[in-house]
Amino acid sequence: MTNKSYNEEDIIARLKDEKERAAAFSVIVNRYSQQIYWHIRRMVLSHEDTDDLVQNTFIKAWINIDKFRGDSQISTWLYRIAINETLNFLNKNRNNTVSINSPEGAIADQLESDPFFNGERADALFSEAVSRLPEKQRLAFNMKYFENMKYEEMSEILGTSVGALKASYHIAVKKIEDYLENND
Amino acid sequence: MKLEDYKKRRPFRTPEGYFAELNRKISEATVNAPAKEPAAKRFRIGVFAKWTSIAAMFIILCTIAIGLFDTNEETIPVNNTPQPKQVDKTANRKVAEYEENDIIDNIMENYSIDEYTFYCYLTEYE
Repeated sequence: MTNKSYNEEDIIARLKDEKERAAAFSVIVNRYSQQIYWHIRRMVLSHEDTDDLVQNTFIKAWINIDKFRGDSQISTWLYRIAINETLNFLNKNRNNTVSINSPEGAIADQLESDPFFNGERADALFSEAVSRLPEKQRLAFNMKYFENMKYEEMSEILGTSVGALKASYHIAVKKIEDYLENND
Repeated sequence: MKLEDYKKRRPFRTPEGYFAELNRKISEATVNAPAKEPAAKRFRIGVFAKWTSIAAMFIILCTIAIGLFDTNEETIPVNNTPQPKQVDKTANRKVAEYEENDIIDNIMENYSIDEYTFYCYLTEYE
């Protein structure tokens, strides 16, 4: 089973066939692992933490494949698992990591010392501005700004109304612009 | 720099060949973690099984209801003369104390009926 040869319906049909399930899941991993990785990475920033969370996301998806009935898209289902994993991780590590309560510039400083970050100070400050947003606003901002996702799709994943997501996105943009202006 | 410009930049990077390695690690991990049977393959109860489970549920609910109401132990009077039956004023209160979820949890814990069959019964779903 190659990555390009099956559409969504084919994959879902093959997931229900015991003999083809593992191969179909392998197609899902190949198709969505990068998208899920970058989504999580923008939330947690560290490559190592993201690596663990992506693996957990796909292992949970595999173990709970029985709960996927094909009512939503595969990507929607994976995003929900990934977001739950990420938010649980952030809540558990709230006291151990640099957070929104840290002094201004602390997140940017930490990023600049990260071997898997090769941006300039402006990039680090931008990432810090995003990291300082409340979680729902951060999710809404990342999904719209970086992934160009439609509000309807975001609404299905996050279980939040389109109106609330639009408001969250616009508030997030305003906060980021203000933060960058004050930390120029 | 304008806000729109940041998305074109890619300050985060991954180790060389990371995604190929990630996919390999996930595939390896899923081999050792057996998946549950997909939803579509689930056993669907037939008409007979459905009515059998409804009858079973009825008996179970009756048993629970009797157990909840019948809380006073019967005592034999010393002189063996019939005594006027005491009305248990607390009975209704005791039943009211049981939330619907408590009763459902009790059924799920104590009787060999799976969640799916039980909710099929409650929702009259075939």
